[in-house]
Amino acid sequence: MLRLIDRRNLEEFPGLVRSMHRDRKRLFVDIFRWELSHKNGEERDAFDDDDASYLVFSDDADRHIASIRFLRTDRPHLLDSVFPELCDAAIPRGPDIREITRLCLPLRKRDRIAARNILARGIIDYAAIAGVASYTAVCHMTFLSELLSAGWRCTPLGLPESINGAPAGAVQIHMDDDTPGLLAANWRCPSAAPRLSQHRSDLAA
Amino acid sequence: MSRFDAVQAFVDEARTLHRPSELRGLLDAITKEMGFDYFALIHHVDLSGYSEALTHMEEGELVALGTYPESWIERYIADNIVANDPVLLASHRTNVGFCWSDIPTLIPVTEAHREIRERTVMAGIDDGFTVPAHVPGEANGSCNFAVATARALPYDNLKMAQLVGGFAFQAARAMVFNAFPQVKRAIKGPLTQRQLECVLYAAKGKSDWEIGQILGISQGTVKRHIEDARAHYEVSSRMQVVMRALFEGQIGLVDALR
Repeated sequence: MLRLIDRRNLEEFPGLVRSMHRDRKRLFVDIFRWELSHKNGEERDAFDDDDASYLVFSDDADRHIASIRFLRTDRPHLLDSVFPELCDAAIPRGPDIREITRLCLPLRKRDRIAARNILARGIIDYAAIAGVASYTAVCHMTFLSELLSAGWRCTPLGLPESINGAPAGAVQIHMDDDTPGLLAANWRCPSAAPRLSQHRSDLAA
Repeated sequence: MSRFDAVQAFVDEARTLHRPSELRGLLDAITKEMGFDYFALIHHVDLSGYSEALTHMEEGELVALGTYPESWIERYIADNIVANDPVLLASHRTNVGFCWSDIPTLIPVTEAHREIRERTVMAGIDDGFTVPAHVPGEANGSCNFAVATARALPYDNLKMAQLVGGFAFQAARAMVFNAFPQVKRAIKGPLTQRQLECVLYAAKGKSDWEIGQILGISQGTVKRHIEDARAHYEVSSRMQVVMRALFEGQIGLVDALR
């Protein structure tokens, strides 16, 4: 399943949400060694609040495989509160701009690409449904070539700076009418791959 | 114009270009603006299909675009330096830009590597900054910025070069893939195990004779396997076979270039 989880339906999927926070702790803290707060094996921060929403790809048992977090940009978010130095231009904000954070993918290469592509389609579908014109994100330079290879229109927001010793930069991914068509062949999902379910989310209401 | 404004202008304009020669002009201008003298934007594969007219890009084969001195490009391709260039080998060990002076921290530098570096310096290319451009499931690539002999690296502009390199590679990549007709890209199915082994070593820049030595088969047999792979993919050159095998994920890039 690919679920949109937000304040309205979060409590319906307690196991799935916990497994997401556990995988986030394993990936970001144990493997990437990011300095993030965690408790009981789960990574969460001040932005995991009522206004956060998540795109969560899960297996048949509804356990977390991969996810991202969307933050509103008309409220405090990472680019404006934690990494303002990454934007040389004005920080993009507004009701039609979301910040993508906490991209959590499986480690095995094959699973990783499949999950990445399912999330990418979810990001584009979500934009169409929720009226999102663009996403902002902090992108580690190690991931820049891969992010750009998707083919969508992506623009830099500032020069890269070192974060925890690794260079990272702010980028904006634009959701234009032609974005679905621009998506590169190796970023596309097989037809049987799950599509975004808004089941009982704020968006569905 | 601030450093960031210059990058932004480059990214916006690069997206509107359709011809490799236009991208070369645009990248040449910002390369000089950043304080470098030369650039080379390349896929790390056999470059024998390279042509000065850039038809290799318009025909959708590979990214290879630059302003290095022409005589050095010729030597570089003729001697297949791409297979053992310490700059490119080092770029396979990282995903972020690095100064060439940091190469010894990335790979063990051999006598052969030192010799290549010396030849590069002799050719008038002194020092540089390389931005790796690795896309999963595709040939490794990089955007290399270099300074002429006796000129210092523009250390203040390396962050700028990091971004320009990444976006420039994508612009070139998009030209190549968009030029490559969809029909030709239809998946052809797997090669045989033996064909794959031969193509893998060809991707590493080995000659038929060398591949034969490694696999313990004759040079003629290697030639036949690669010829069969070529026929299988319905392409006309050895380089295209490598590109197809990479494109279809038949050979792993990290492995192929290790």
